[in-house]
Amino acid sequence: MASPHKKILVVEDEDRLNDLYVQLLEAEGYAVDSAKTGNEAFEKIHEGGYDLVLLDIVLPEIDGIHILQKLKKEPAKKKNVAIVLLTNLTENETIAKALKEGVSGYLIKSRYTPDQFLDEVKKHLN
Amino acid sequence: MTKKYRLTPEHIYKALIDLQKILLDTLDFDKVIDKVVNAMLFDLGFVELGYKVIVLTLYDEKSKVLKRIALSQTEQAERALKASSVPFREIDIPISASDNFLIRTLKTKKPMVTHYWPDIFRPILSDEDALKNQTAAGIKTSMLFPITVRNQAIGVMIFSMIKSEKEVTEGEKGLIQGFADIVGLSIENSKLFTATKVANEKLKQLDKLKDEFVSIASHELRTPLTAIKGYIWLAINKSPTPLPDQVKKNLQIALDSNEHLAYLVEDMLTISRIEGKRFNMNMEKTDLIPVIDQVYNELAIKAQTKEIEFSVTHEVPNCFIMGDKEKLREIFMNIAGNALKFTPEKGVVKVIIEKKDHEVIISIRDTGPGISKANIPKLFQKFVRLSESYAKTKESGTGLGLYITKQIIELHKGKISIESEVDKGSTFTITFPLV
Repeated sequence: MASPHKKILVVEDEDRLNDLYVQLLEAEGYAVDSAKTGNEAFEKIHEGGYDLVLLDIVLPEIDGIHILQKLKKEPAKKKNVAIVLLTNLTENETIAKALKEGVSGYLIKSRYTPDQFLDEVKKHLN
Repeated sequence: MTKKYRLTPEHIYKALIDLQKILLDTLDFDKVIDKVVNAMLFDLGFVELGYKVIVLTLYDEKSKVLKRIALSQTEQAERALKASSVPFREIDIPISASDNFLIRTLKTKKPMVTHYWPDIFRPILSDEDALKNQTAAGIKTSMLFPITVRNQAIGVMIFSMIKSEKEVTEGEKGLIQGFADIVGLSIENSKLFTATKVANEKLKQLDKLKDEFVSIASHELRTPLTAIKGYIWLAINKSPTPLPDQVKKNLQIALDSNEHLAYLVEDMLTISRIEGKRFNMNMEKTDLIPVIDQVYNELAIKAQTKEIEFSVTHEVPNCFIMGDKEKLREIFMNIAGNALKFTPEKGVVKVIIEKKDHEVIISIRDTGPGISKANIPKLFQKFVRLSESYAKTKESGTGLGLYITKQIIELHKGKISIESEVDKGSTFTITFPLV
């Protein structure tokens, strides 16, 4: 099992995708937490302490970009090691905007097979 | 009062040609009707001949009334407007008003003359009010000419003047009749033009809607496709108990089909972007040789497994064109990928890069099944399915790849063509302008 005990937060509003990522990551032995709305996501990220946050952009209540902007004003209590965008948006502008707000990379959901997805997660954890 | 203004046949001919030019140069309906009532007075100097008010009326099929549409910009017209108890645009004469001279002119398609304005205002204005208008404008005589198109009367023009009918020369009458005929044609033209313009706008809007729909639909399809892919993968790879072979095989087929659908969705999204002119390209001076070399490296393994002799040849050190590196890579992945896909084991696929004049020519030659002459024109269409090539390969594409490739090549100001012989192979030739 790769990198046990690493803590990952999955932020994804689509139930089925959220459950899928949780299952995939748990099967790899990670400690996985999840959030399905912008507010819930912000609270959890603000509490902090994750090795990796996978953050969807389109979310109810507050979107991913706003969460990142809010975090700049109210930094997390415990540092999060890395935040990576989880997105279907291939529009470069949105991604560029998010990269400016301090994320360390992005994953395009529809592009990867699950093993590629797990590889990418592993890369971002190291 | 009237200047000597001789109207010779030559003069009439020239005047009509001028009017025709003025009217036919204009296509917008509102502008045409404005010119109709003003051109003759001012551009041809009829105002000097005592003509002071010109009115255009058109028959409206729907409401069955003859409507006043346009009025010349003269002070006499202005005075008549001020005196009138009913606004100009509301003087609609019903087709049933057979005592109105305008209606008679419309029905008989023959010109009429009146010295008495109630004849052309009944039953909308009382005789008293109509006379009041006539007095205010200072009009002695009004000549009514039918406007006809293909022998159908569509309206009547009123030429009102401050002289009597006797003072009107045959030349003037001829010119006015000729003018009324041109008016009919130009109104018809502008109506058609306006209708076409409206229809065109509607089509454009529909096209945009279709485009947006495809774009949104494709986008919405991605989420369930991603979920299906993930869960089937989980079922195959992370099953807590070992799966029977047949179940594994069935799930793999489901996964492959889902993948095929995902490609289809991506291709449709690409097409909707290209056709909706929302296809973003990052154009920069790009060397094609490393782009093609990269494609070669990505495809080399596939060539090896089929024992295909796969090569890239170029005698030039570089080939700079204006292009989007990633999109160019996709073009060559598609064409060379197809060549490898359709070429049977132990065949040959050759890519040759040459410079000629101001172009780079890339030919991709294969020893695949070839494409019949009849099928070549279909090749670059959407959802193409060619029986001969698909019969011989197990792999199937989305049927959109070549269409997209051609579009992207053309967005790079390039061209693609194919030469092929059944059972011998095909050669795709792509050219781009060099920088």
